[in-house]
Amino acid sequence: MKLEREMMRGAAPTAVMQLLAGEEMYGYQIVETLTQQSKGVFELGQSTLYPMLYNLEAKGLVKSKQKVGDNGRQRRYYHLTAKGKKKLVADKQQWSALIKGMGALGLTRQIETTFNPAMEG
Amino acid sequence: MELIKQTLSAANSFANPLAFENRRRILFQFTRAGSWKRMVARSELPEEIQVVLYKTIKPIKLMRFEKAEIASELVDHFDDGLKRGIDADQLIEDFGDPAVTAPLMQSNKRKNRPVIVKLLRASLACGGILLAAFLVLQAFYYSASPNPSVAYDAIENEKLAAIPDSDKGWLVYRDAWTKYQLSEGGSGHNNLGLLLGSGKGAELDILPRPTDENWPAVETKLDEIADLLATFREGAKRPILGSELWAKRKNYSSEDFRALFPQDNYLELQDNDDSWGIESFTEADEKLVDGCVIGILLPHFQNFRTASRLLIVDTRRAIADGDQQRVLDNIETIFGIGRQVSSQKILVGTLIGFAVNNLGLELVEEIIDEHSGFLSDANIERLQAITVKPDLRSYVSFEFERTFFLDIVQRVYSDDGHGDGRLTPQSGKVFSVISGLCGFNAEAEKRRGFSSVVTMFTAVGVLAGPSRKQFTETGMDFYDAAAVDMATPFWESPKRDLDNFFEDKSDFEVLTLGQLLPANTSIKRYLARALLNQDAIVTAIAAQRFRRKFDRWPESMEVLNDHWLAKTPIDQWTGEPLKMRVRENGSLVVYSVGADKVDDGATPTPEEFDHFDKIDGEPASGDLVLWESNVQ
Repeated sequence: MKLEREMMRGAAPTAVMQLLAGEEMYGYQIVETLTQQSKGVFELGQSTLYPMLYNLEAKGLVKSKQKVGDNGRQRRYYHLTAKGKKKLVADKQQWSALIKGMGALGLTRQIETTFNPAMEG
Repeated sequence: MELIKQTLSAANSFANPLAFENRRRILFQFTRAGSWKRMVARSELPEEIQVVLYKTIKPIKLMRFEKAEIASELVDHFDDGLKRGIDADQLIEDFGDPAVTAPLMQSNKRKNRPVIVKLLRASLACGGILLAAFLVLQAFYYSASPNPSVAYDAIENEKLAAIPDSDKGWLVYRDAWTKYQLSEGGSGHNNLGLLLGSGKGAELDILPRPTDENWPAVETKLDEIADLLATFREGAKRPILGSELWAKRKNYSSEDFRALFPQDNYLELQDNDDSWGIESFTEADEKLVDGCVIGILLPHFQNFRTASRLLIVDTRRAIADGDQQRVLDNIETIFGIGRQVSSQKILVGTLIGFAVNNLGLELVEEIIDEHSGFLSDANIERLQAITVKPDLRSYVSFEFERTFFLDIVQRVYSDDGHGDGRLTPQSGKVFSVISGLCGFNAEAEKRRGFSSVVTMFTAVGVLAGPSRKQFTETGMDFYDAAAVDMATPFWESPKRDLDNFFEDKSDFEVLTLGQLLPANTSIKRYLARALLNQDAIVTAIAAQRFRRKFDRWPESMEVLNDHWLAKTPIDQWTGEPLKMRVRENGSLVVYSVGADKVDDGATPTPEEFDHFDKIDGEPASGDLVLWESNVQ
């Protein structure tokens, strides 16, 4: 399933930062990895990825650099900055609190069920 | 090591405008490689993807290098997708709507600009605003022009016309002025050279004396100009000079013109007023200053001093001839001429009036010093009455100066028809001309050809400078203040009392008014010096009369005050009566305590010390000796 636009707007920057915390990546790689690792949940419309990256860069959370990749091609690689790392830690705490809150409301199971139909029944 | 890392990090920081990354990015702005269209076209991506990229990037309002960066990244993005086997249609669908993407990219990319670019753009924006403001100001400035509509010289001459001709000395002098070519440019000075002496020294010292070898020739020459001397004596009896003054020569009557401009081709000259001779002046500029009152020529004024010198020589001859009446008449004539020149109410006339009066006082001093027994008791009393008569305070007037000022205003400012207006492009040139006429290195100004700096200055002056109304009011206020200051006794404020006047004025007003307004301190000083000399000589005559009667000098001023002086002579440095003292050698001294205001018992200050020239400096000790009799 795909997230609705509003949900995506809140979650996608954190997801992208989480990816970039592991390694630096270029645009298409981010889209691809995000889709794969999130099992299709974070299927970013790519037209929103680049504005989002520019926005994160403007906020100083990520930084880009033109460099030659493993395949010998020039790419703009993005990596997390120190500021971005702090923001990611804070975001994680918020997500954790959010999930706990949702669990207390009995929503987490419902979300898991929706996310994994095999759990139903 | 950590320090090196930090340094390298800082060097690559976005905040560092010279960081390598920023330099490389910004290069896209200026190189051919920085064309986003070129990047897309050369990408070898399928045409439909290129169309998407075109639709995405084209509407984005960013700088060239920013659009190139986006193009480069998106080309790579689609290229990556294709290489992973995804077809073009799927990639386009995954990419999303270009119409949504473009504004998002635009706003986020803008936030991400390097500081140097932000600074440059802000600077360009400010520069553009300033340039636009300057152009608007220039347009505003050049849309106005002065329109001088008042002939101030005609107004002044109308006032003169209302005075009866029988009161005007000039109408008596005029024919003699023509005959002897006394105005500047005429041959009069050369023809009379024998009588005017030569060499350096005080004026009376260089004039011929009966003891000179060539005195017989001098006498012959005096006989030749007897009609001229008689004309001076006749004309000086009239209250005023009454000489019409016109800015344009063609406005003079032919009689006046011949007397004032004694060149042979005077008729031709009268029809062709000279240009101002300034290279950078256009025809319009010439027209603007044509008829300017400040350009009025006074070719006859200085030669009233010449007239006085001729009368001094004739007085020496009269003394040699034993002709007391002619001596008194000549002295009265000299004082009369001084009064008349100042009656034109032009400051130049005031200064020449003081100079002529001083020549008369020096002559009187010579008579009482060197020919103390020459005049009868009755005639020496008459001499005193003649000497005390000139009312020197009335010689100072700012009347014509106000006219000069108002005339300049109408040639510098536009006229809204209600007494107001603004500075015009011509103001720079007009002010430069005035600077020259006022002695501010006119030749240098001409050579410089009125640089554009002058024009720039005056354009800005539209904002910085006062309006026509304000400027006029300030000028009139100054003349009022100057008149009050002149009426204030010298001993109360020997320095110019007008410095406070400029305190609340703008730099523009100080600069421009400073050129237009008279040097008040000098005039005040000249007046004080003239009053002091007059009082001293009158006192000396009274002392001579006293001595004739009692065969001794008066012991004090109080003694003279009782019967021998009509009014108490005043020390201009203190406002107290002048000092008098009989020295041990028997000579009488009339003196002022001088700038230090301390009575040093008639001990003079060093000769080179001029009390009136040292108003702003430390006054020297010693007194200002005004007159000292011969040793008895």
